[in-house]
Amino acid sequence: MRKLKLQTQVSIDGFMATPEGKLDWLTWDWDDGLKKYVNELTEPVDCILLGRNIAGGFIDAWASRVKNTEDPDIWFSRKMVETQKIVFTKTLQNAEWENTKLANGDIVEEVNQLKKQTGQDIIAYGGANFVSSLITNGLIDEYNLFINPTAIGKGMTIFSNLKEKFNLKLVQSKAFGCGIVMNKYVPL
Amino acid sequence: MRKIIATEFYTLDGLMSDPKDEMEWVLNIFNEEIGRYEDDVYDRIDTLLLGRITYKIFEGYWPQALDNPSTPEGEIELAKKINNADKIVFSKTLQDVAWKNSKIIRQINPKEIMKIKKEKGKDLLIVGSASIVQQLTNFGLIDEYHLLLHPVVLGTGKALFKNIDNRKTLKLTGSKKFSNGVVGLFYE
Repeated sequence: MRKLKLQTQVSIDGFMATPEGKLDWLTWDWDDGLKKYVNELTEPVDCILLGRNIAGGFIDAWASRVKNTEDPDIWFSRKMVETQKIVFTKTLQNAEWENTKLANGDIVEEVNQLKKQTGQDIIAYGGANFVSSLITNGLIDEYNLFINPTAIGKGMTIFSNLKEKFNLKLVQSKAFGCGIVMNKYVPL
Repeated sequence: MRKIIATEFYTLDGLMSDPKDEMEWVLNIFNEEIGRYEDDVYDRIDTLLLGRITYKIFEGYWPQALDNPSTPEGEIELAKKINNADKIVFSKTLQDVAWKNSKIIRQINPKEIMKIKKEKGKDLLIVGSASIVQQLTNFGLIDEYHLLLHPVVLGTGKALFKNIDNRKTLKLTGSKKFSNGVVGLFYE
């Protein structure tokens, strides 16, 4: 069965965005080690899952960035543009973006259906509500949390609506020169 | 000048205690490696800075630990260090303190803290005490943050950085992967 990976940037105190959804606290000057790590994480991915709230911003940003042919990281932009994306929504009727399909059904059924198909890894990037639903329904097979060196006090979390506490198993931890620490966890 | 170190056990969702302050999520996986970290950090200090709640927990445990036959062997040295250290409790309500080498300070005054930092002595350690961490973070008075990220999501509890006035960007100075799944994040 295909693996569903989560990749998300979090603050020291575990938030993925400010209460307004802002990401201006993120460390942007990634060192080469971190870039290489993320490329390796992304390379075996052939399907991207997005929540409705961030889909438009995400898809448009990469569509614009891929036009910059001088960008040394253009491989990544191409990967984001060319990989099939599935947007989870209850309201949208038509997918208005390239390489994008909509999933309107029950999240558990939709994701399990995708996992059963043949293919490479699936990755989810956000937003917070969508990822929370994936987590509470036990659908994430691998958590890749990139801890940025900033505490923001309050904000959006991927761990909302939990009914009870849960434990994860740490499988890897790696610190990068730019100050980000990557922790990889799997469900127990 | 003496440094103020904050050592904090916390969770993937940024919490430093469960609603009942029971800390079983720490005790369940506590091992010798974490104990060694504690021994090392307590070797550096001669004074503890505590909030009322953490002080009461410590006062209810450590003074008796030396006489208590069920105290684990590895904890005896730590018990001596903690009992011998000076304890400063920040509290508006606490009436008096019975534990040796303890005194109450009613209000956090940055000038007073700076005066203590300039006194002769070893470093100072904050343990737990989220409200003290937040207030001293706001005054920029903490020199080192030792954040021991436990592989657990609690859902509800006390947030470590809840009442910081502004976002706080720190410098990552190191990280350590403990065999029990804890990741130590060290910042300045």
